Amino acid sequence: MELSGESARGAAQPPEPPQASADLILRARQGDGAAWEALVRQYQQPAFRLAYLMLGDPDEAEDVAQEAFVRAFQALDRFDVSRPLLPWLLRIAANLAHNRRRSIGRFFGAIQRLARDEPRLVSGETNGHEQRWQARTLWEAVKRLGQGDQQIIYLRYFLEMSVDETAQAMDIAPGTVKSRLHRALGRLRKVIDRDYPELREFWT
Amino acid sequence: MNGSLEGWENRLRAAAQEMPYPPTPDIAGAVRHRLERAPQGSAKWRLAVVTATVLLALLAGALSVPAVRAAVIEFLQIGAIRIILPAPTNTPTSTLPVTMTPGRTPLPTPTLPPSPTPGDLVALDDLQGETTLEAAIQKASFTLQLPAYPAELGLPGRIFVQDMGGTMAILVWTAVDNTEKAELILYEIAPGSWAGQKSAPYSLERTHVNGREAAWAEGPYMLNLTNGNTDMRRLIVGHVLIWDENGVTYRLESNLDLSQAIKIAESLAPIP
Repeated sequence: MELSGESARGAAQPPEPPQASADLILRARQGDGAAWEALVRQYQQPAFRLAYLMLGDPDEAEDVAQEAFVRAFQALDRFDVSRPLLPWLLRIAANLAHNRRRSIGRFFGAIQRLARDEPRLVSGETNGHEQRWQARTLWEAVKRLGQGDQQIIYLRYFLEMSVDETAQAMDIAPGTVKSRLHRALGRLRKVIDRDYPELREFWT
Repeated sequence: MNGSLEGWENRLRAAAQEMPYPPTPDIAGAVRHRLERAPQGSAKWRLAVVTATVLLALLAGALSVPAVRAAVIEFLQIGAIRIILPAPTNTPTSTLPVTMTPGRTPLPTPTLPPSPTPGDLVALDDLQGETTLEAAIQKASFTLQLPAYPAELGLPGRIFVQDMGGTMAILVWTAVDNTEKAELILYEIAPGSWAGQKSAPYSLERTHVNGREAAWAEGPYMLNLTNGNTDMRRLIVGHVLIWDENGVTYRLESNLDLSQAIKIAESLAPIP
């Protein structure tokens, strides 16, 4: 699988200018396709990346991200324009990715492709790119967790969403984000300690 | 979080931010084409949502009348499995979780645990009677069947046979990288078994498999454990599809949606 080599750092989304987005949303609601296209272009990267993290397959992730934007457009009347758009979009994308994962044929297929294309990484085998090796190994470890734990870790750490944004993306209270995150990190740490000693040693 | 954990979290954050992703495709262009191709789709979709919402509201209203709720059957018998339904209560409709899919009959949720919790989960390694597929075929008093769908599913990775007043074969498909993680489980239960004499699920919906009445439920069931106990446990947080065919009762446990589960159920074929 070819990767762009572009990491989340440096590619993180700039803070959303609320008024500009609200104007575009209002125009899109009135059927202005160009306005919606501008918003899709602004947020397609985090939506695609979240779907990729959840599904492990770029083609599946593209389908899910595309479907998320189509469904969001159809549901725009229900969106509260006083709130940021990105968490709402990510919630739709995460739900679609979750449903896609539950489609067993696709899920098994993605796992098989992943196993075929991405043999387990070993420290030092990545042309010296230790940081990427750590990231990919961390992703492998996160995938061992339950769906909810994965989602909250992807949003907070991989996509660098704030606690409030994560709360909106998961439709839970900010306080709940903190408690769930605490528990998810505890479980992740156990997985790493047990199954990824190379990462554990690297982080010790 | 103490200092050590905070440092660990910071290393995690730094590593996650270095995740290499595939290039982001031109999703904006594809979305624009899709929306241009189906200009009427939005209106049709909204109409469908409104129609479904009205139907749900009418149904919820009907179930809020005690006499209507009392008319719902008290148990559902699928093969060897008797699913106990709750006695009608005066619980407000808004707190009575009722599942509904057009064309199927909703049933009230039992007044057992308010929501499923993983506390009743049991590990595969704690199940009694692990064996091979060949041995299971020989032990079973009926012809074991396997799903033909999805084609790539293949043979079950782990097989158990338990005696519950009749053979119960448990066929488990596990994650490719973790043979302790069950992803799909098919129980095949001989006639007369008491394996499912009493089952009170967290949620229940009636459906059909091959035109016969079936149940789509969520909750624990009896399993023989290696510690010698028979306990109400389950292997996956998900749903179980229950149906019967030629006297054999089947239970398909997974976290799939109902349509996928039915597809798998209806693809069963004898092991060649």
